[in-house]
Amino acid sequence: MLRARLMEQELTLLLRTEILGTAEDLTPRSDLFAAGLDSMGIMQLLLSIEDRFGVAIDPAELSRENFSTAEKIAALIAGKQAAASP
Amino acid sequence: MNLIEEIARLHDPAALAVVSGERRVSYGELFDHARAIAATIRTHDDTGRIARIGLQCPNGVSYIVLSMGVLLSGACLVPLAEELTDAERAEIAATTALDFILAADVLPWHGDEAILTASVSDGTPWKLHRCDPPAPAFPEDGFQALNPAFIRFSSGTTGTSKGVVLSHETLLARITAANEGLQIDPRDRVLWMLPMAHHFAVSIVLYLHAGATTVLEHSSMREDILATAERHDATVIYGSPFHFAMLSGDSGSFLWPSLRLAVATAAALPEATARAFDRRFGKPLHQGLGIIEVGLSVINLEAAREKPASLGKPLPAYEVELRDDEFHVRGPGLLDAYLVPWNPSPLDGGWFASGDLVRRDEDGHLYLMGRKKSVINVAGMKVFPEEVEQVLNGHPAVFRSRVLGREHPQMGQVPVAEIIPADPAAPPKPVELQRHCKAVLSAYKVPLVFKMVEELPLTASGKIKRILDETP
Repeated sequence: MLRARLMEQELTLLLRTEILGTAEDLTPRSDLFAAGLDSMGIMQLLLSIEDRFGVAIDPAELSRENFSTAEKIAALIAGKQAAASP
Repeated sequence: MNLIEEIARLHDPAALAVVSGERRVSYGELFDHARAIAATIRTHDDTGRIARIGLQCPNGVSYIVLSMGVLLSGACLVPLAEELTDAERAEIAATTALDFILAADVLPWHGDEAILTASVSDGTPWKLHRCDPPAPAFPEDGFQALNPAFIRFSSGTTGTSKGVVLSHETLLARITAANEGLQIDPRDRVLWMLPMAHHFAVSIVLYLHAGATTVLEHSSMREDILATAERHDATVIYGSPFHFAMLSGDSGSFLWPSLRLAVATAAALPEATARAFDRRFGKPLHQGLGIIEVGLSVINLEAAREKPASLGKPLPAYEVELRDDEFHVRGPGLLDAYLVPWNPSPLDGGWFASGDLVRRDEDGHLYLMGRKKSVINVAGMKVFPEEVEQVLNGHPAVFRSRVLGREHPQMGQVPVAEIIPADPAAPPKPVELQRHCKAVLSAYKVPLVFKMVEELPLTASGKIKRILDETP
């Protein structure tokens, strides 16, 4: 639980400072697409996730259900990490 | 000849030109806005020649009318992409010797150029700024003689030339040639989601010329893109392999029956992505090779389903030759000049050498194999390693650096860096180098991985050795 929270916070910080740039009041539950996440931003986000969390997200998995908030993305990453560890 | 004036003559003013959310804009309304913008620009343009005007505006109806207004005023349009840093924007303004910048208020303005006037077009407030350019590094007379419409700054294919100049005549010639293949007509509704600052000339201008309806989608979420496609019965879509991979994962029930042409561009199309799209929507992806100096000369129209990884064959107006595997093309609408260094005859006997390595199979179908030169292609955006290295080398903890492209399935390539630290005992932190790069470079140019190394391969003359040929 704590780990999931930390991941949400790290993702939110990454989105705020490096990908969206201006969204000061972004929270883990903010709608990222409403905040202006475009396809170049999504690609940067996917690469950063690969780099920091060691899991690759296929573009085919990018649904509203999976990817519209930092909270949902953290859950997607956590699920992949769990599936990858023995 | 003014291409926008030509377009104004072609269509019924009541015909639907652009749809954006709830908004429906006719050709007549589009030209009303554009003519008002052109009149405002003419009031303030005291250059007495074809002015160069930078445009900084996000995607939308306003981007279209502002571009049309600049061109209708007789000026030459220089797109300033949203993601540019202040340093990059200043470099473009100086190199292209901009006379004015037209900037939408919605984007943050960092320039110190004086405001000449403020106006509102189609609900979008904007300002016209006067630049104070240094003397141009190109001959003004030679530039004026071309009847220039566009300068695309960033993608000189050779890595040394900056600013691709396209005249009104050139634009008309290339969109006419491209449309022999695309066959876009007034019945088409083209779903558009790519950044206009990178793709305006041979896409939106082509749709306007053909009398089609351009349907703008602002959201990058696939549910939104597909809902818009369904609502407006979109017939044509342009996208990168990334977009198509994302759309293919949709598990809804919409089958997109109105779709007749899906064009994949910007990065090499993986066969798996094309197969997944075909499985989901029952339509093949057509891979095209768009080159800013050329337009669209090659697209896979006839063998898209059988050979999805192929670029197909040249369109009827073009000839293609492979010389030492390098793509050479001849035909209508090739660039008029490179701006800096000034080169008004950039073709060799009518041929343009693109730097793409291409092979041809026994049926004459072409395949993209890689790049001859060291430029890195990040989802269609060109990154010159030298530019990034120069920035990295300016960091006090960096002794020397090398930037390379790492292959990536959806993005084509991503930049990564190798660093020789100034002090091996205290190497710089990657996050710090990333921040250092971000301050002056657009985000897509910033390396994603920084690897500390002890040495870098050098040529005999002491330059960084690059991988010149990525083909096996």
